[in-house]
Amino acid sequence: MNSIEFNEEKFNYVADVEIEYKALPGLTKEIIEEISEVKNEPKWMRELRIKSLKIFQTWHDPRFGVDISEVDLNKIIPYIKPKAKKTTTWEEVPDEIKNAFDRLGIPEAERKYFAGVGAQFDSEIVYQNIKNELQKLGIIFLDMESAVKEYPDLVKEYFMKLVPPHDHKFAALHGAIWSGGTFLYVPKGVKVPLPLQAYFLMSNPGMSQLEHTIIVADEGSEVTFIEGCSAPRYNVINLHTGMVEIYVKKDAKVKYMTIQNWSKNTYNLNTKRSIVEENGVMSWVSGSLGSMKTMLYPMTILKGKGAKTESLGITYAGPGQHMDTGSKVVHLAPYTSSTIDARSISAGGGWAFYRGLLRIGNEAKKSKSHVQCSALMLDNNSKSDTVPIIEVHNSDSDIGHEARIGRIKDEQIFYLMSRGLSEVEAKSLIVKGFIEPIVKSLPFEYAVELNRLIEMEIESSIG
Amino acid sequence: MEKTLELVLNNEKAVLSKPKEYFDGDYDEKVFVKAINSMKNEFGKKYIMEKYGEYFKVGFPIWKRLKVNNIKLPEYKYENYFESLKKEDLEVISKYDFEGSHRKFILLSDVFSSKGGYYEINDERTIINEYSDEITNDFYKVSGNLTLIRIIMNKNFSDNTARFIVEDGANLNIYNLYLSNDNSFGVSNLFLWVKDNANVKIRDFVSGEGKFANYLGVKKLGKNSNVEINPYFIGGKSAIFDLLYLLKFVGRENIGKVKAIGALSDEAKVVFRGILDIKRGAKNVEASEEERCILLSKDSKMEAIPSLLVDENEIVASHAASSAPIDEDSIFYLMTRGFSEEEAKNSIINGVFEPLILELSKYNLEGLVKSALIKYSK
Repeated sequence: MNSIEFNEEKFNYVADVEIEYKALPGLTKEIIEEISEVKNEPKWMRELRIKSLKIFQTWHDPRFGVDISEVDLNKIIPYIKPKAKKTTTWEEVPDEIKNAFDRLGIPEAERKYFAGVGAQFDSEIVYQNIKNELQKLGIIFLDMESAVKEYPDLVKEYFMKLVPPHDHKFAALHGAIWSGGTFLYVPKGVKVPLPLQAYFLMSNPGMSQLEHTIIVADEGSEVTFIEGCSAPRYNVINLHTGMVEIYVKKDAKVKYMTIQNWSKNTYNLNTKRSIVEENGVMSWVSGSLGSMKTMLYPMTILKGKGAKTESLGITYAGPGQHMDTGSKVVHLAPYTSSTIDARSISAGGGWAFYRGLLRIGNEAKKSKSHVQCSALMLDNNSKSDTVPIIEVHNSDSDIGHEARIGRIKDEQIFYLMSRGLSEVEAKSLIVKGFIEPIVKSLPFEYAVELNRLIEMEIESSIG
Repeated sequence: MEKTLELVLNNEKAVLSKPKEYFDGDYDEKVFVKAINSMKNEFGKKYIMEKYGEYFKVGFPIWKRLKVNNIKLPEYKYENYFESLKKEDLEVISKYDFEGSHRKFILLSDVFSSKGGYYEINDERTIINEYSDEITNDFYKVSGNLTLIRIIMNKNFSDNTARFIVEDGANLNIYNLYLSNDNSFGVSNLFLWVKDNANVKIRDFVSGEGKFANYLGVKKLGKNSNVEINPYFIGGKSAIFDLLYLLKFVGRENIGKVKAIGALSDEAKVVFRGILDIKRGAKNVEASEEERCILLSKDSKMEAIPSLLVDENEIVASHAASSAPIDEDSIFYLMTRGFSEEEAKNSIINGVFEPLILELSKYNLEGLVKSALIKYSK
């Protein structure tokens, strides 16, 4: 399987890039002030960082999920700035960084499939561009640092308002040392015809990446945003604690897609949240394949009457991986609806854990929700758990939940092998069928990539 | 000791949340010393002393979903059930221990129980035990056929613990009828260790207006056994029923099913926790859990946490939960047949409880269900 070998190499590529500034490991007020100084930030942002640090110091570790006792935050490098100026021209990006992104097909993808692309290398965005005709429509698509300076009032209105620093320990950590990420504002009535994309690379051992993404889809607008991430594998722990805040205004539609392929030395402790106003629609499509340990539960708050959300997710837990993923939906208004389709595959000793929350508030009359969890265990060394929490606080809603855990049946493999497939190919084909609804909802390029990644994971788990 | 949750894979452990605890309002050491001094049974004394060593280190849980943070224990009666037991009985009992909904309540009934029984059933028998506002502790070793009816009335505070060993080929049929008054708090913890080719049927009926934490754990050690659990609940006013059903599969070729259904009125709430825990090696297991709740008033609430924890892939495991108002089509159909809307609704809810009413009528106990239906299904 040549394509598999090619893929493995491209994701494990180590770029030898010169560093302009590297913070000392650890978390102190001095280090945080220094990061803020290097970024030349306004006072309010510096104050938010310091306030977040204070909150972080008082918070306990999460009392559920993966064991993070091995993460020593005093050894994690909070900020690394590569020697590369921010640019909107791909040619101006330093060769080594360009090479790393080229291997992932980023600029090529931009030309073919995307309306705009942001590329983050370690702690900073090095390239951000949007097609001219879309910029003219008033779309703001900027790296977060530039947005903080160029649109301070707009950013201040939304930055960490949906996930405040006191939400949980890692929200506070994020508030203290966030760096990079994207600010996207889509004006009223603008329907962005092609997806916008952000890609994140972590290239240094022991570093943390904490990009902050804000999407504001104003009334009646529509946008699709795709994020991808990868990193070469090291023997020390890397930490990813990104944050995504999405504001879906009245009648707007946002689709947020993620293919997470962090290296297997990464702790991925990420927070994603959206709030949806009247008749707005929020769609999440997630593929969680990489990292050593993940805790991620994209949350949607259905605030306005008739607001909707749908979530499609696939989690793959291979050897040594503990993936604690899920989704949260809070219905606050009448006639809101949600659909969650969560699928997981565990193989080669991997642990896939689905954790969900569905809350139907007292005011959310005539709401509907359907939650479905399916898990496939490819062998007997792995583990698959589902623990959803369902809270229904009014009598006028229709709620259904189903979950099923099983394996690939011998008859299915035997049938496919009788048609000339090897055992690994047969299992791979069945797995592809299992994840098809998620793959189908991705743009072609990403669908191919997800299929290849799954093939690669199956090959390494059971091949 | 049988833990309720064990989330471990090889060397990897998941983090488990634990409720906060408090120590106010507990029996003080003087009560215990007086209790132990009044006992004559040396073996019982030894057993209780050991349990007390753990008891005083554990606090009462603060349960958020059940809204319990202040327990009023009854005045201690200085009548210890272990007084009547033989050394051999205590040796058997000491081998079987479990965590329950919270360890404190198991230890409370181990140390301070005033009523209970040690039963060895080798023949066919029906036992009816009635408890009201007591701390109790029972042990059943079933080799024959046992039908057990437990009627537990909570007026203020109850803590009822029972352990069951279900031997090879045994048949066990349990009816737990839990009734509660407004402002009462009751805890029930049952654990069953089930061996080969056994058949276990459990019907729980939870009703009333109080707060009630029910824990029923089953560990299927042997093979080819069948466990079927059907919880029914109906409540009103500010009742909160927190119901936990745990099926732990260790042996092969076992079947385990939990199917819960109920209705709530006023501001009542149910919290349903179903845990299917399938250990590695428990091949060809069929495990399922299902919960359905009918909310009859605008302020009634349903919460469900149905968990599947699976370490073995040669199994079939599923869970389902749903909450919906009474089906409008069914009401409409009955109204076209001459029922008023209220009669139609009552008829549908009565239908849900009909299988239980029929079974209890064999023991002239169906009135308990019928009177609860009249009270809470409007």
